[in-house]
Amino acid sequence: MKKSMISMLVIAFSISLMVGCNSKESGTDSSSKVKLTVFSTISDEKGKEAFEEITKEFEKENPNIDVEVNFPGQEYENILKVKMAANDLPDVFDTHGWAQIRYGKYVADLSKESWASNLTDSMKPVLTDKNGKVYALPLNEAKDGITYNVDVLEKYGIEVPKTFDELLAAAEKIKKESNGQVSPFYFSGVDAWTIGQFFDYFATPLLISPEQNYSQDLLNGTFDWSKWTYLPEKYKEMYDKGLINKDMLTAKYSDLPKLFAEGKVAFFMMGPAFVGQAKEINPNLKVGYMPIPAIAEGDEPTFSGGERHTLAAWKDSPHLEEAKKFINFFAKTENLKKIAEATNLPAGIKGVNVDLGELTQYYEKYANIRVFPYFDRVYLPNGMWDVMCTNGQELIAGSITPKQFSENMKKQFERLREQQKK
Amino acid sequence: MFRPYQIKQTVLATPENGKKGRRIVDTEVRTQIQFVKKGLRRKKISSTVWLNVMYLPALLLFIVFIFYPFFKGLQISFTNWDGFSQTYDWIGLDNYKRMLHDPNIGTIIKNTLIYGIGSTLFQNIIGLAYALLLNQEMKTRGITRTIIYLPVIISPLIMGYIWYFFFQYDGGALNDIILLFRNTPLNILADPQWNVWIIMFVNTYQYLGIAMVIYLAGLQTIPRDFYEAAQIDGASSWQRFKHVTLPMLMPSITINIVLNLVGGLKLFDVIISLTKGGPGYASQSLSTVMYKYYFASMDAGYAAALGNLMFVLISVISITALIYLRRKEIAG
Repeated sequence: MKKSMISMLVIAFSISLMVGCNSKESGTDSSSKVKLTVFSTISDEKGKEAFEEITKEFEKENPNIDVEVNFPGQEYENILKVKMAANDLPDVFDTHGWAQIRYGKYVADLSKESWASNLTDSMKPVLTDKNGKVYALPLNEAKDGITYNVDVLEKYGIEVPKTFDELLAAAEKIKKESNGQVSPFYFSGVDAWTIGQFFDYFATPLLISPEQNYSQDLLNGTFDWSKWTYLPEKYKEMYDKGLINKDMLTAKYSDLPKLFAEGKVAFFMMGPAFVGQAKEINPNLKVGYMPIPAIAEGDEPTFSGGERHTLAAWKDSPHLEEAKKFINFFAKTENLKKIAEATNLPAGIKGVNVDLGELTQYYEKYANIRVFPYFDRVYLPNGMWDVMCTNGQELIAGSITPKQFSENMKKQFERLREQQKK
Repeated sequence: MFRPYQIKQTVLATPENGKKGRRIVDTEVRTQIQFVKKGLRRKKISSTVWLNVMYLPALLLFIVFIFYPFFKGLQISFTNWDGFSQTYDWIGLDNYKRMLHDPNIGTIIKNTLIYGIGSTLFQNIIGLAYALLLNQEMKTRGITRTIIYLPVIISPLIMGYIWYFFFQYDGGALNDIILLFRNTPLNILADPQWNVWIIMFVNTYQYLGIAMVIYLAGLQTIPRDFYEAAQIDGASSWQRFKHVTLPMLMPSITINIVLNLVGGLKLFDVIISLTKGGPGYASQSLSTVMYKYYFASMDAGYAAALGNLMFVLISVISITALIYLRRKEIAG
């Protein structure tokens, strides 16, 4: 009797301890302020600063709302995946290119908000579905192309390349005439997303943007993957010819801003987000920006685009109203302008005039260039990005051939498609 | 003539040392309990109840943080869960079958074994050598011990980065030295022939201190008389090491080997900071590849299956080692 009594008491005590912790938390929440948790993928300092300034103004205007902003950087995706698995998301979070495919079931519809009808033409299909649901507020808009060092191109007398062949010829010229002092391209095997970026960029001019394209085949899963081999073949060729930094397998992305600022790297296949950091090292750095060159004959260059930083509200958030209020505060013209300028990108909402300094001329010059959504988000199943990155590493390390690269793509493409068919 | 068994008998007689000694203590306790049993029945009940109550909190923690995740992991390994969706399908043993056809699984298991067994071997040999050296009377003993133990207190991730800067291709310390002698720098972190061994080396270097300290403690429990007795019997220094030091150190050897095996087999931080498992799969171990599959490839089911493989691998290797070494302890 006594034995079971004591055991019971202990169990009751430990349960009450746990419950006690819980009730205490919710108690403080309801009695005083509403606490909003916000997660953003912004990782560069200037962007973070702008975000925090706007948040502070919001808190000033809404003294009963307390906002906790998190910038987990590289860990963002993993944290959000864990939170999704537990079905316990932040009240407001960034969808970083996955508004519909990955986060679609978790975000609230924002189509009733005043800014929803002003999405730019290129952001509209990305953030709206056919039923009119608006998934997120774009804080800016990615028009990803190739960032280059203007001085390096001028020094070796190079015109901005319009086709992939011209790009490779330019790279060879730079390599030769600089005696290998300038690495035409820079990739990092440690931060393998830089490799994935190459394949994602050039898959569009190879397979999607030409008149004769394979977009239907990719969408219904009948794509002939031997057509893919062109990309790994070229990539390997670029590395073998010394057009890519020799230490790419162990180089880190964090070394890029310095090398770029010092004129040791000519082209980098990414938007100009790193430029701010490079300019701190070399304030006289001149940065140019170009669209992705065409591969097929008669085709024109393209931009790879879509979401970069967004704000979406969790549909089951206990503070959905406050979350929407927070998002709408960011949607004010002056705030969108601030964020877009801090992140060196155009705005995703019409009527916001963004001054991007020296980059403005490039965005204006290429205003009519077609913007294609990121290749992998539309044509590849969720999970293929990593396949591209890893196979790219293995290709350069010499453990697979370009043909095997395509075979691996096919295998994983089919496996993931099968898995996600629901 | 020098006869080791004589020493063994002395060991039995000292209760602080070795297995047998402990058994003497055990029997004492048991007789006490029996005494209690006979005399005070009521008191005995309440004492066992209290014993049960005492371990409840620990048990609760174990259930929440070890058993539940373990069974959940087992369950996930039979699904095609992507790691975040609310739904998944049961696919039976498919994840385990996939393992058999995974072209990289051979490399991964090989690397895991190199990290585990390789670093255990070196940590123990070098750790023991240092312990023997630093067990001697010498002036710089204290400071040398501290220096060798120092890496242990640095976070393994930071340790990895320190060595990354050493081995780095562009501007790494090693290449600065190499460039004095030849024109082309080495990129050894990218070389699958080398990077696995470098990771093993860094892990060995980091935890050498722990092995050394355990051996030092073990060495200090060996009574001087044994060596004197052996010396009188005419044992050479190698014989003294083989017949006195080694058998007396068996408990320390067991602890060291098992600890290092488990630590090395589940090595993670150093790999992430030095190579991130790359290039490709060249330096991945089971723990890093599991993380990669779970988060990057959205393949939580397969990651869970690999996790279970790792669990089995570690259990089999460390339990085998433990049983083997325990047997030696008793016989030695």
